[in-house]
Amino acid sequence: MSTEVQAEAGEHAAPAPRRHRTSRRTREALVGYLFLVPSLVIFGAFFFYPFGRLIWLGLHQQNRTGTATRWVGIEQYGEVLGGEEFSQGLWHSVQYLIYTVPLGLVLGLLLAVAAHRRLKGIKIFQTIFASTVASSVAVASVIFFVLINPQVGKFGRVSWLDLENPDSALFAVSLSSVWQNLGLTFIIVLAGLQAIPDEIIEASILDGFGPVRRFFRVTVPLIAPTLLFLVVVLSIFALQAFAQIDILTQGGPAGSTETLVFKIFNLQQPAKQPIGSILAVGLFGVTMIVSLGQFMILERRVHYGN
Amino acid sequence: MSGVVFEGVTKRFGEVVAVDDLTLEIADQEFMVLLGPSGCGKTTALRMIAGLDDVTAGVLRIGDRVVNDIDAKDRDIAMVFQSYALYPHMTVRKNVESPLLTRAFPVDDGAPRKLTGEEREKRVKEAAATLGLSDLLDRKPGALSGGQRQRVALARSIVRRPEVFLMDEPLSNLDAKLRAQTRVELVELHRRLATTFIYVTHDQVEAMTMASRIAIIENGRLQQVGRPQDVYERPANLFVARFIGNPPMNTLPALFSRNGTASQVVCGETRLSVSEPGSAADGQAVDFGVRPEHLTVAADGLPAEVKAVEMLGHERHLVCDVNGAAVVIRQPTEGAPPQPGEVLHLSADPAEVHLFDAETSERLN
Ligand SMILES: Nc1ncnc2c1ncn2[C@@H]1O[C@H](COP(=O)(O)OP(=O)(O)OP(=O)(O)O)[C@@H](O)[C@H]1O
Ligand SMILES: [Mg+2]
Repeated sequence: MSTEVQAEAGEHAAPAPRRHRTSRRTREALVGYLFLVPSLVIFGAFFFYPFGRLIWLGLHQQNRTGTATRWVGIEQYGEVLGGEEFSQGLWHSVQYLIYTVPLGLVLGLLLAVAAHRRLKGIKIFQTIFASTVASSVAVASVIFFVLINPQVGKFGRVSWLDLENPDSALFAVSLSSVWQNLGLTFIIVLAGLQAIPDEIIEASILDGFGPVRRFFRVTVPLIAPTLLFLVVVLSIFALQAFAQIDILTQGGPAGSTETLVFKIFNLQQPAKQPIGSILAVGLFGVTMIVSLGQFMILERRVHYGN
Repeated sequence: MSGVVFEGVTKRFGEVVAVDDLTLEIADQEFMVLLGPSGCGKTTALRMIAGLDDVTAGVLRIGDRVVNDIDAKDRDIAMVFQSYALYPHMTVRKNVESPLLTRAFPVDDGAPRKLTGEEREKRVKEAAATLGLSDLLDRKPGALSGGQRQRVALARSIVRRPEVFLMDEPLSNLDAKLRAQTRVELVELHRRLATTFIYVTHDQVEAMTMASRIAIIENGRLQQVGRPQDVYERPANLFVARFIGNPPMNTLPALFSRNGTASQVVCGETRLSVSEPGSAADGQAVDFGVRPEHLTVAADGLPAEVKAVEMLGHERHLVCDVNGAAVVIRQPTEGAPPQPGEVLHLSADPAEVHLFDAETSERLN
């Protein structure tokens, strides 16, 4: 660096300001990196290191106490990711995603559209609709559990909400997720709706658009970036769902609610840890592919206003 | 084709009275400009015609129809919003086409019906050609300049050939040159379409250059309606006098005195004669007004100290101080300009003096 400065200084008539500028740029870069250090430390400690460790574990076997490891190589990845454990867990996770994302999005959109109007007292409804944001997964799951409890629950006799039946359990758990995410979806969609300029809506009224045409031709395209964001976030939520499953079904009945995350959790004994690690790496890959895929497919059809 | 009539129309937003007992008749095919300062209720008046705001009291007619209770979509009007309000996700073609999608239109003198895709495309192309947008049909609004967006907004409103056009400050986002050019084009468009235009602006130059009549509004109240020249030459009150004209009319407090047939205003030590005193009474306190072009520098008259000289090329403005009030004089650019600090004597053309009641601000002559 310093030789470069000197070389430049020799070539130019007025070296002083130049040297000053270069050193200032260096200083600015240093300050910039300094600001990055805290997040680098956090990411390093809580993401990069564990992720590296996962990959490493997946290449080994471990004894029952976790005191000794033995290299087995990349073949273990092929075996586990090609095996039934992974495909079954993935299938449950994907079902979970299919149940939760579209339904959650549509319900959130409907609620937001209903609450997006200038009415006295509408804030009360907006607060109620948004309220699930403020309750933890555990609390919300317990409430849901009580609601569909066969003995005391209001919806205890609804057959497609039966947590004891392998055919309905996953859907019942999904429904609780939909409900828990509704507050967040509602708030984000409502914010999107409120960002649409009134005059554009009024122009569409004068253009003779009825409510339905206006909704599909004007409102939805204008909040499409918001909806894309929600699709991605809700999909990630679905692929990562754990607490509601643990509270409502513990993966049962007959393993019908064992999603990938739940299987990973069940594999947390030293001897099985390498298998769990490979599943976790697989889940990471699936999540990334799903998110990137959504961005690529949807972004082409999404209008980003200016 | 039809006119618009306000009969005692009032619009309140809670405590705020945005439009106050407005009575105004806008004739068929007229180019009416609603002019007034910011917040005076122009947009609100326009939105009531469009049906976007409802009428608190009074009667609003479009053509022969009372429209107080008629939905916006059932009124045959088109509006150009100040922000243009184009659909950002649609191409220019789709934007311009959108008013044609749901309505029925009379085709070839037959019964009204919805247009086919081909008919719509034909009309879109016509409207686009009228406004010089033919090459931009496949672009989205985000890829257009302000002036082009404004044309798209106009095209979207002319494409359906409405009875009444409403425009809310459509030129306010354009630069001065484009604005001047578009003014001419709008007048031309009005002539060609032969439809009622109602145009809102706070820019008196736009009003003067385009309007067949101007309605001047302040604080929700109508101050004066008339042809641009009439409003300029005979402002109905002090507000209109000061609002119309650039630089604005000079007004000074004075006493009116009538001495036989000779009428004069007494301003400080100086007496200035007035040839048409109207209803002003001897000894009445008045505000006398005179436009900058009707003041001349003379041997004696109103003493005025020059504060600044503004050169505009074809003319110059002398900003003077008369008894503590600012007075502007327009002069041709001849000879050496007076220097700041110099004291001049001003005389006013007696035929061009405006007299206003000092209490009511209403015109007296
Ligand atoms: N929706 C509303 N709620 C409450 N007050 C309003 C509303 N719309 C307008 N007003 C008030 O009514 C008055 C007139 O507003 P309006 O928009 O008609 O003014 P304007 O003449 O168009 O002004 P500008 O030149 O700034 O656009 C203002 O005092 C404004 O604050
Ligand atoms: Mg306005």
